[in-house]
Amino acid sequence: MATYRGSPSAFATPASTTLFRRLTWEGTVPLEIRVDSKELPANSDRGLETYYIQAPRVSYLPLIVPELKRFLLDVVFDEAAARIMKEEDWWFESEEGSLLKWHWPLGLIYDTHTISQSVRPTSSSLSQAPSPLRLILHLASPPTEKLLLAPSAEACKQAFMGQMKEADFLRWGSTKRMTGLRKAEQDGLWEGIKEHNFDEYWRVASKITPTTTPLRSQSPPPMGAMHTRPPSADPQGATPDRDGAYNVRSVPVRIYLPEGPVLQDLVPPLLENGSVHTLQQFLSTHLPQLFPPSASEPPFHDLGYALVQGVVTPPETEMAWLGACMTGADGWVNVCIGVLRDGGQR
Amino acid sequence: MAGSPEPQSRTLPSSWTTGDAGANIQEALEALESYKKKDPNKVVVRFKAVGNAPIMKQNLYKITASNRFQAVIQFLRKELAWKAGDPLFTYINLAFAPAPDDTVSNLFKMYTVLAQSFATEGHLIVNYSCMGLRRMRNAFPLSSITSGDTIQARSYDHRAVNLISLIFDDAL
Repeated sequence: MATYRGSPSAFATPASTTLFRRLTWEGTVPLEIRVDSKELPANSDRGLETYYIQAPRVSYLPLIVPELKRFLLDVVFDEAAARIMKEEDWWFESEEGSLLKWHWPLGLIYDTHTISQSVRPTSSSLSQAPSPLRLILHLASPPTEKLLLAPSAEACKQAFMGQMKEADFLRWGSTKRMTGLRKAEQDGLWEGIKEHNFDEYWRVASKITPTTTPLRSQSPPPMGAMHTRPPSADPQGATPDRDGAYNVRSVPVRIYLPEGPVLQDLVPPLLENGSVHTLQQFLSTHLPQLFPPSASEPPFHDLGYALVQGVVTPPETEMAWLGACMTGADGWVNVCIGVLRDGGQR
Repeated sequence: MAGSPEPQSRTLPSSWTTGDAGANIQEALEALESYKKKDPNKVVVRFKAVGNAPIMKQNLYKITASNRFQAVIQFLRKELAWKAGDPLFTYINLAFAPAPDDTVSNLFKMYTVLAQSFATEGHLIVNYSCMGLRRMRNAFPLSSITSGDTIQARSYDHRAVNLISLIFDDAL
């Protein structure tokens, strides 16, 4: 946690940092998982083969498999089917037929589904409550060629560690912080996700995640006018926080377009002119056709909107702040871009 | 917001309001199509062996930027003639293993620019080994080597030297 040497800004107190980290951690998405009816073993209790779960955004498909398996064994399958069931052969597909990635966090899978719906002509505006993401569970013949990664919890853990290291490398130019952790600590990160235990996860994550340091002087700035001074110019003489969110080389960010490419680029916390890098500036630099640069002052005439952890993120949000407070468990800020529909409603 | 019990309409704050709706959607869809276009350029990938992985005769290749990293892994397996079950670990700049669906163009854009200080000459460096880095580091504990020690060089030791330099390399 950041320690203070000056008056805390309203936007970067340890309390607000923890609050947003906890909100992100506790975020959930509704999933509706149905076994492919063609694959239901004989003597299964039909009509009951759908499982509903409000799953943590920071979790992964392989981690909900055990719960799913218990349900199917208890309620749906008979003993004969249970004996021959091989969960290593399980794989998931969306209702539209796209293969689901085992190594993507559930929140990302849900948000990319939301934005791909935003480009469908038949989709109504999202004025109703979030609807469950419908998944089809297949019990056999996984398309191993396309799956890219073995669909096991262990492979998922390795992929997670890889993402943590990449985030570490992007921020600081080396993976010292990650490799400096003992193996038990690294495992503790994954265990925290498995057990969905905020404290267990953050006990280790706080050693590698950037802290939020107050850059500004005493009074919080008015909304939309974030003038900041670099830490060295702070009148209180605060020493710059070595691990501070504004000292990273680049914030680990990926942009997801509806059914489109995943974009990655350098995201410095401060721009060359010394101003803080905001979401609006980031999007108008990389997606100028959707977020015209001329519209970087309110009122914005954007054609799209940005979702981070399922929240429509205000344009003046600071990228560095996102990198400290609203990353997924793997350290990445996933920005999902949807298309705006009529009159400001999504 | 997920978890919120409100079922009513989620209008965006006024600063996000758009103008003519129909035309805007069309423009947005066209913009998305242009962003989907695959990068036809090729980037130079340099493969570097780590530990006792065999060194390739030819280690510089041009790979189409729009390829996923999975294609690079498969290419490497083929060049090394390693079967699907043989352990193969790949790293970027000896720092991390990328996800197989990361594109070569993103990796090149991110890690060639950042690594200019490591004098990588504008190549994306892909390290490969048959053992994970942690296991390699554990196999050669720092405490057993102190600076000033003479290390016996033997015939295959260009790889051993490579490994020793890794242990003291900050990038690990």
